[in-house]
Amino acid sequence: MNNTLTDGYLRMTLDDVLALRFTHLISGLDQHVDLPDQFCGTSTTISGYTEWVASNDRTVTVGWDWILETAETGIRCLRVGQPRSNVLIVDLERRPFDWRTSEAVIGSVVDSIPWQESARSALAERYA
Amino acid sequence: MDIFAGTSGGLAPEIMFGLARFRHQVFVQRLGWQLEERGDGLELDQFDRPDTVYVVARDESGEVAGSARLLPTTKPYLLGEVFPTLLHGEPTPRNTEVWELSRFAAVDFSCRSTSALSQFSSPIAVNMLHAAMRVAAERGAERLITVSPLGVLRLLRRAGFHAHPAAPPLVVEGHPLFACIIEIERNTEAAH
Repeated sequence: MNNTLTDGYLRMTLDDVLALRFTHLISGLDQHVDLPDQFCGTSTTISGYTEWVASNDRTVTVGWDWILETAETGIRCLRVGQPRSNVLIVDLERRPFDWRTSEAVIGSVVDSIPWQESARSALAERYA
Repeated sequence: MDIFAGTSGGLAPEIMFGLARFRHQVFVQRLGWQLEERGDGLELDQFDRPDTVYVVARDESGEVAGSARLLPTTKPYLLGEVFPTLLHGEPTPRNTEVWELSRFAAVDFSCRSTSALSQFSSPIAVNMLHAAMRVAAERGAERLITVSPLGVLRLLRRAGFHAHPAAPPLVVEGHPLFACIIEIERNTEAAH
């Protein structure tokens, strides 16, 4: 007999997701890859990941990759790619969005969170 | 590169032997996994049963270059028996549509990396995973579940697979570990 887990997704409306309070879990740096032609002064990329859970619903997980980008105004930490999550957005009739659309919507939610400082602090502590 | 699939009773003995030796080379010797040692240079555990389904890649010289193990979740499987905490109290799947993927590796032994991701260092990794998905789909699977470090989940997604966490990670020695779902999409199936 089959038990309940089918696709492992938690089906939530956008309002449900907006009501979540996300808490930082862990962030990390990507491992540096040695290239044969590297030498002092060449450009490099600093990237990594950050993982969050919802403090008011501990079953929700969302994570994403990031990259450090230099700009005239300073260094920015930018989300790269769509978030990975166990949430699948549904409409008010509980019909699920396509998973790519769902991830894009979750990405918009994530972009409204001031996550960069938490990730930066966690990285500073982890790699001190 | 040839890919073979089947149970231990259906695969040639030399393929099964090569598979167990390859798994020892990758998971015990290279990655340092603390697995029960048999003392014969072969890696097998309690989930290697007569009904276990294997996918094995052999290179042009006949050496095993890739491995995957598939188990139905309607019988004992690795995540259900050893890592149920990855689902944070939710019941582990017991479902004919869900198969577990474990002992997945496609390794380029000329690559010196010992990182947890080196089990995917070979370019055949994507083909191996497609083969595993195809074999599982032939047996009724609609998705795979696997115990994965975060790096594997990131690699899967970058390679275009529909993969996502089933629950929040457990942080083990500073590294996130997930129960990961890989959807067997019909369009992906058809393309490979």
